[in-house]
Amino acid sequence: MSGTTIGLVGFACLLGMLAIRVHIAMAMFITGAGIYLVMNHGETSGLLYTLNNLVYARVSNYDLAVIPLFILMGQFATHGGLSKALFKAAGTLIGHWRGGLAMASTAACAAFGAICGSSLATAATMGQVALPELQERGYSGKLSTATLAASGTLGILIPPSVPLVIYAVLTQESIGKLFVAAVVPGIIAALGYLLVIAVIVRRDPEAGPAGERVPFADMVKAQINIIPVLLVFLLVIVGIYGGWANPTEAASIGAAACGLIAAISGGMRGKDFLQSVYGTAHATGMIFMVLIGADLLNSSLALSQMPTELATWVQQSGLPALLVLFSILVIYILLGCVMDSLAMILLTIPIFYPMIMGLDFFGMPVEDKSVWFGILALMVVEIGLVHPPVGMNLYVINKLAKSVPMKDTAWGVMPFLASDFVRITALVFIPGLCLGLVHWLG
Amino acid sequence: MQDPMGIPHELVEHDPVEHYLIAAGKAMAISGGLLFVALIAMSLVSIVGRKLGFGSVTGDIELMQAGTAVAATAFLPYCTLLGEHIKVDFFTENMADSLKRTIDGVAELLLAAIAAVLAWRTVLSTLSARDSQEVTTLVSLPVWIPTGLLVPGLVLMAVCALYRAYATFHPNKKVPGVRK
Repeated sequence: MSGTTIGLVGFACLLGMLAIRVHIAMAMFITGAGIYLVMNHGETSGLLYTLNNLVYARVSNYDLAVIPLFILMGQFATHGGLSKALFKAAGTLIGHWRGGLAMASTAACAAFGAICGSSLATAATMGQVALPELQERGYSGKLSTATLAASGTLGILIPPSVPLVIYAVLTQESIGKLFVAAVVPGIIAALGYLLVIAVIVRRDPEAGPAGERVPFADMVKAQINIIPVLLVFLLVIVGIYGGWANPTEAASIGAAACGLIAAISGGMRGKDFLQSVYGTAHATGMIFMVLIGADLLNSSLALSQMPTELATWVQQSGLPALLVLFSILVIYILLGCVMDSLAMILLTIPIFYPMIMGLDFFGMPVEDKSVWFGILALMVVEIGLVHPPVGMNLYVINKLAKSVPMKDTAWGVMPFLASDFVRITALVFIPGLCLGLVHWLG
Repeated sequence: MQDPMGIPHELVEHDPVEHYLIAAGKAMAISGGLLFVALIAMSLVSIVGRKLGFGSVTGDIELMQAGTAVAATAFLPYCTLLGEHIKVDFFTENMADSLKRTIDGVAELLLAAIAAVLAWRTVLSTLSARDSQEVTTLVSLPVWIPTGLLVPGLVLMAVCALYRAYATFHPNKKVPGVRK
């Protein structure tokens, strides 16, 4: 049996294990161990030797330290009540427009996303703050829940973003470059959602009644309150790209600054600090366990040479590059129906990345292609968070707004999903949207 | 599907064993958290020092690497107790509860077995690093120390998974970390 066949059979077993509720990390680990054993003709010493250093080698990685640090930063932002200040600032600014408060929710999600790397945390925290107010102002339930479920994804689309860090580690790409590349597409995503809200309230003014204008002084005060949050974001992004802090250091600064803001202006106390630590432990434990499993799987796949063989096959098959790319994107959307974004990235990037790198897209140089595909993959896997049947953001928001039926929320996000598809298509054909800023700064 | 990176649910204890497991899991999580706070402080000193011309903390990268490894592994038992290691439950949504419980128990057993194997191999790796007196480049931190510090997290993770497997197989028992 050739290495490629072993790799493919292993991958099929992996998917089978996933379907019957084996933990993703364990399924990866078992498959990786299995491929190792078959490749070595049942000899166990090679596998055992690899296992000796598996955990320490994988988790003592300087770049990966970014993940718990950014998660801690997001937890501080969540438990420190920063979401309230952001929503208020956006609300006083544009709340008097028709649909303005829904737009303010999107804007606040975008700002929160700039200090938090998680979509669910963004949707949950902003939802807690915004939903009651939207309801009070007579916004339709459908518009409110759909806006928050969709805008929650800005948590990941706007850097810092945990899936991008994992992509960077898997592909040896620069975290800083990927973060910078994600900024413009993230802003376009936010603008797209604002546009969707504007169109919805234009067609159905009852869905988002205009509010009263807030006195100018109050408006200014609300804006001043959020300056520290914006400073944290700038510190992190400028620090990384300005070259005076590497991503891990920037994440440390961000976590410390967010902790300080949360303690001083957000009223974070010992209990909230502990909750932040538990939240970090929960998310980090989950991610690192999958990373350990994925590490064994990926090194066994590399041993079987299945990914390179597949990439060569795709390259020589003469299939149009764009067809391959769109097939990959469709696979992501389908996988998004059943699994979460981190697992998808870890499972598929080792196989899809060499394929994309071997193909020619608009004559793009390799280093550009690698960043561009990372941003595309991020956007497509995030769609899985909002489309039925398992869009987690829908469930999170639905739990918060019990009066709105799930069906309404699911239908309500459709126009937002349409804007996602338009944005992704634009990014496929205009790579400059993500690469422009990278080139300009680089 | 679980809630990745959201806010974890509260662990409810049903009997004395769970009481100690939860206490141990939380204690490890907190120690990991405090280790991260220390690492953050070190990073800050490092950056400020570099900017002011005193140079960064010697070996800051090595320390961050070793520290992350220890702290992140300390998070594993808590996450395991919560039952929050990611799995796909899309295809088994309509499965009978008793069957689901059985395969979940098997999955927890697998988790326990693999955690135990990892703990065992990490112990061997610790011993060999101590024998070879391997140290980090800049601060000469003996590598066996952080490697050895991974073991408690892995062992406790195996115990937690084993307990969850036991509770899952007993129809009358409640599984710690299962949402109400």
